[in-house]
Amino acid sequence: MDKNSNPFLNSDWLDMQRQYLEILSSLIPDAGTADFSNPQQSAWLRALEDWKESTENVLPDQDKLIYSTIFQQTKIFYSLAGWFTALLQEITAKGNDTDAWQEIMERHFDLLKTQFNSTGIGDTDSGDDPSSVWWSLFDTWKQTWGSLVPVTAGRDHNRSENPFVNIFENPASNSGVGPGRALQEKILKGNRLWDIYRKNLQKYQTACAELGVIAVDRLKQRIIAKAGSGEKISSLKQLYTLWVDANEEVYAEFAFTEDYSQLYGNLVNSLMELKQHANSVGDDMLAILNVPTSRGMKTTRKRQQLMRHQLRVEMQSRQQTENSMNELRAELDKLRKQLNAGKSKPKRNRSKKQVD
Amino acid sequence: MINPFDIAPEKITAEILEFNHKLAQGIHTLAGLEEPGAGVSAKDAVYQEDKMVLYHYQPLAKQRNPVPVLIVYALVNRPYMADLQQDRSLIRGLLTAGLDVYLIDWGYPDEGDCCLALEDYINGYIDRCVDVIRRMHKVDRLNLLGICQGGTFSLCYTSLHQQKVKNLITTVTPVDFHTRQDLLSRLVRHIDIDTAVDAMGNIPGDLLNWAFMMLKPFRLTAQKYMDFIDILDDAEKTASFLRMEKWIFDSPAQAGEAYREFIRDFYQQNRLIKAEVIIGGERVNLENISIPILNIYARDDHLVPPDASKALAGCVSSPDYTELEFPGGHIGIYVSAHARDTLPQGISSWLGGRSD
Repeated sequence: MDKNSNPFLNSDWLDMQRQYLEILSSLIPDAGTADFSNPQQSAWLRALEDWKESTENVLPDQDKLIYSTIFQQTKIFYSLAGWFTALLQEITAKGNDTDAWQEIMERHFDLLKTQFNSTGIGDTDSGDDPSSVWWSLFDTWKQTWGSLVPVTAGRDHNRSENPFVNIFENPASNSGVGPGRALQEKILKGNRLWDIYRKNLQKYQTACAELGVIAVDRLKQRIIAKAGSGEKISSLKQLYTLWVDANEEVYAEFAFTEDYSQLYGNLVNSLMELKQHANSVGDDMLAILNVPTSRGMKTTRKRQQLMRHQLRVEMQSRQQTENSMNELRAELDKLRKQLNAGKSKPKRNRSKKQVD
Repeated sequence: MINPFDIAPEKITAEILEFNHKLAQGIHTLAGLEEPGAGVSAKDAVYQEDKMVLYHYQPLAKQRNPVPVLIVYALVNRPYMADLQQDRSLIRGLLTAGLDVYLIDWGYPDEGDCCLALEDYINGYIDRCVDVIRRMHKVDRLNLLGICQGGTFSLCYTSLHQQKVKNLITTVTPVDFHTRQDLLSRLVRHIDIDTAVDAMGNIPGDLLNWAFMMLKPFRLTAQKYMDFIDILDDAEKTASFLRMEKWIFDSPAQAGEAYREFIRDFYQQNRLIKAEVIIGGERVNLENISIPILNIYARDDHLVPPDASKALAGCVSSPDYTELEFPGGHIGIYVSAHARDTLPQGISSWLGGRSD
């Protein structure tokens, strides 16, 4: 569909926004204004955020999510631009020293590795260096899995505060008729399960941070390999692709191991136990208020499913009986017809027989 | 070693400016497109039970094969992927080849469906749809075409009800769930599926999306969207991308009990090839299958690796078993141009010789 066919679309305003971003881009002299040690200085990123805020509301709802995803990845792309430009500027400054580029690259890569160590584990709020391609995965984890457990939704999964405590600050829970000791035990158990989940999450994030460091080395190896074979890296996009490939390769090597299987399993299982406990606590509160619980609904659904099965078996049995009855009726009708046909035949002459 | 970086810092700036131009143009393109539809071929609902609907596609050509084809799709994702757009539709291809096509649409399970088990899907919904089609066409047997998990269901169904199936086609269908390259199987290996299902009831579609994404996290969350920016100025290509995105994220919840059984019995314990799966009290033994089988798999499939599908050859007793390798990925087998040009004709001609 052409934009012009949508009467509600303000294409003039969109054109203005497009020009705004292009002008803003041209005002920023080079991509290397990102101070790697101080990401907040990045003019590119600030401009992008401003532009995103002003334009995203015009998009149809179904496109907002993809737009947001594109922006998240664009930030990572920009950060790669900043990091790469700083590297290139230093290499260029060395002029014709053909060996200096490797030493400079090593230094910049070592700095990049420190981002995996110094960045708060699970801190995905930066988007300001290439390592954030890993941390964005944790954002997705928290949005997807974390939202399943009401007590953890919207919380920082790395904090130690017991999310169950706040539930019982609710006046409804202080009705005076709820259990005392049982409630305390549930809070303590919730605390334990939350700690187990956090520890498993931390182990998972630490493993990913280690993979990130390996990925940086893998990228370095690929660049050196290209140098060895005389190939050139002639665009930022090419470098970005190499970075993605390096990360994917390193991740796949680990993902196929039993260690990863266990790590991932422990993470998911601990979250599910937490959820199960949260469900149980929620049900206890609903039961106090005499409101249907999920436990009760589950029992009802199981019984309903069993009854459906039994009903279907009965219906099939009845259908078979009906089929048998129909067959018998058909047989009976046939026999009646034969009998009636026999009755309508002319009788023999009895008197003639007697004379003989 | 010569410096491989053949790019000046100013060139990065130019690349970023070009990137921004595409991003800015993209908002125009996105804002002007309609929401993608779900399927393009005309169809009629001929049977409905609970959330399940059996559709009959309206013919596009003179029917050359009197035996109807029933497509059994997976529970995961929506079936309109096989009918995504006019020039990317397996279903249109089959219709144009003169086949009479039916499809089971499983719908969107809700909490009331959490107790549905595999028996309900295989011996219940599928069997009743088969009976409806047989009655409508006055045939004893029909052709079954299974897609991915739908293919696994079709195998189970045929093993138990072979007298109703004339020919069986499986596409990208997992049979052996413990092959070396099966990352998805490794991811779920240590999941406590009972706790997960007891905690969640139905399994949200978002979780499945996350699991699939974690098979290639960097390509599927990062690179895909960066490559998308390159086509944002092309409305048609953007629309195609968005159509696919809509399908990818349009994931129904999975009925809890069916999901529990599938993960436990198939993915974790790999019971299908060991003839240990029990459906409705009966053992599923693939060796029972003696009818003609066409097994199509995708050479570059990372979701269902080729070995996982090819294992079928060693399980069935059919003297008429054909394998077809498709050069593409799990989804490409349905939506690529090559698929459009080869797959429907391949299926049609294979069936044509087996319709007597």
